[in-house]
Amino acid sequence: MASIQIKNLHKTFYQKSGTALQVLDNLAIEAQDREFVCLLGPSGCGKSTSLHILAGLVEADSGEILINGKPNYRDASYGYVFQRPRLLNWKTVTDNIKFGLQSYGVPGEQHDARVSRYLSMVGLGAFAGEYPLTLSGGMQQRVAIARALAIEPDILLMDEPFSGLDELTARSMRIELLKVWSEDRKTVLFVTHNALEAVFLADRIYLLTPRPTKVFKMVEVDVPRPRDLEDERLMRIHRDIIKSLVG
Amino acid sequence: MDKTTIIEQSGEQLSSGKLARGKITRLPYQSWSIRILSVIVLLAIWKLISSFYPPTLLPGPDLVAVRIGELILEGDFFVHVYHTVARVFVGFALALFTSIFLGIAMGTSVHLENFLDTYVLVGLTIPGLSWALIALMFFGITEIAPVFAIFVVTSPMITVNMWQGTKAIDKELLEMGKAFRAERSALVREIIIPQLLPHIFAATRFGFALAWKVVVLSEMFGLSNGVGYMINQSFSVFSMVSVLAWTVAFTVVMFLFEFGVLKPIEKHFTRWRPAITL
Repeated sequence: MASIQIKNLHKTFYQKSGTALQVLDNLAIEAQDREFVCLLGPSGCGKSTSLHILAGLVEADSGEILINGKPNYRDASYGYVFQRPRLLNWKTVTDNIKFGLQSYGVPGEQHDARVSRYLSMVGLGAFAGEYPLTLSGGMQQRVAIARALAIEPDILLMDEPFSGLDELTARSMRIELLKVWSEDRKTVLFVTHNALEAVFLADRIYLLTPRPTKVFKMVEVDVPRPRDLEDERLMRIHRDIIKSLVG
Repeated sequence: MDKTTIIEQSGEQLSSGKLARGKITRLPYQSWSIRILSVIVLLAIWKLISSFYPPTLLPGPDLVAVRIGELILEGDFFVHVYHTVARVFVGFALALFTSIFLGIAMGTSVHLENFLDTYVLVGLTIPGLSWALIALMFFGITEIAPVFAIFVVTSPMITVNMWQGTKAIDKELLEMGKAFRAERSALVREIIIPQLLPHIFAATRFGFALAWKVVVLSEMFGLSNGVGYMINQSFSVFSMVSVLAWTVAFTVVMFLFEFGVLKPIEKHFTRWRPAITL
């Protein structure tokens, strides 16, 4: 149960040479509870930075983040899926997921049940004892998704999770993600530079400008689920988005 | 993707995994037979060359093997090997312990890196012989001398290894750990140390080789026991067969350590790496 309101978020990084790099400029984003929201913008804009701020990896210079209308956003829990799987290769699939559970302070007696529940949810029940490097890239990313889901977070943060996969694998991963998500709807912030991906996944898309990043358009994707990738309505929205991006 | 395709993919993955494992089981056997062959070739070349010289100048491997047998039967062998091995272990353990901290410090702090860089380079350059003599002159004929010499000779090399290892740590994994709110101790235990282990193994391997060379020098020049001392004794009576016997015997001991202790431990810690087959 979590809605997110991000208001007036500012962030400037200072490089070693001293030059200021303004990354976020007055960023304002909203996600309703159980809503799938995409942040769509060009590579190198501050899309990831906003997720980093939510996850506590980076501090914002100024701005306000409200979770369910309350300002203590670090009290909410966040499951993070990165662009690369970022698994610990020296741990088995099971122990990778347990690392997340342990780190997030999930009581030990729940670990086994959570591991088997979320591993089978991503279709990897048979691979619990394998080491990551014996799995394909797509399977590794599914382990990473299971690791994020297993902490049963209020909010799922996904940072271009399929951009490192080949298009066919990415396609089936998107369909699977929506299936998993529809079973247990969480609020999702999904960062991508792929307009088609955003249209297929999202309830709502924020189009972001290049650095310094702010929202220049918000698009509602009012197409019922389950969706068909070839759906004419999705295609139309996609065309509109591309048009407004290219100008 | 529907369930059947997932299962199909899984099956494929499993069978390819088994295929890879089949290759691994063949690999050690091949590598062992080649290793044994290389030893046999070496002994044959030695035997061949020795046939051109009198045995007092260059005894063949057979005579040296007989001498090793005598040394073992006389009982002195294990006493001297014990002294040498003990010095190597103590000196090396101290160096490893210190250098892991120094290396991590250099890998994480630019200031410490710049400060210690010179020491490491100087340490790598100074000959082990100098250190062995300096230690004997300073500490006298004591056990501290060889231990100190081993410590100063191996420390820079281990430090360099740990320093590079620390710099190579995957920062994205640390970020992942922090995003999942892992505690500092968990980050060190679960993410940093596993990535340093291969560097610790490399350092141990080279460190032992260096330590063994230095300890022999210390024992030659000052001490009254140990393998180096016995090699020097053999030299003073011009017994080539004894010099070779002590040298070969100790090399075998170090080999046993490598294959009996170091390799199995390393294998245990790197079991997650799939075998590379070309």
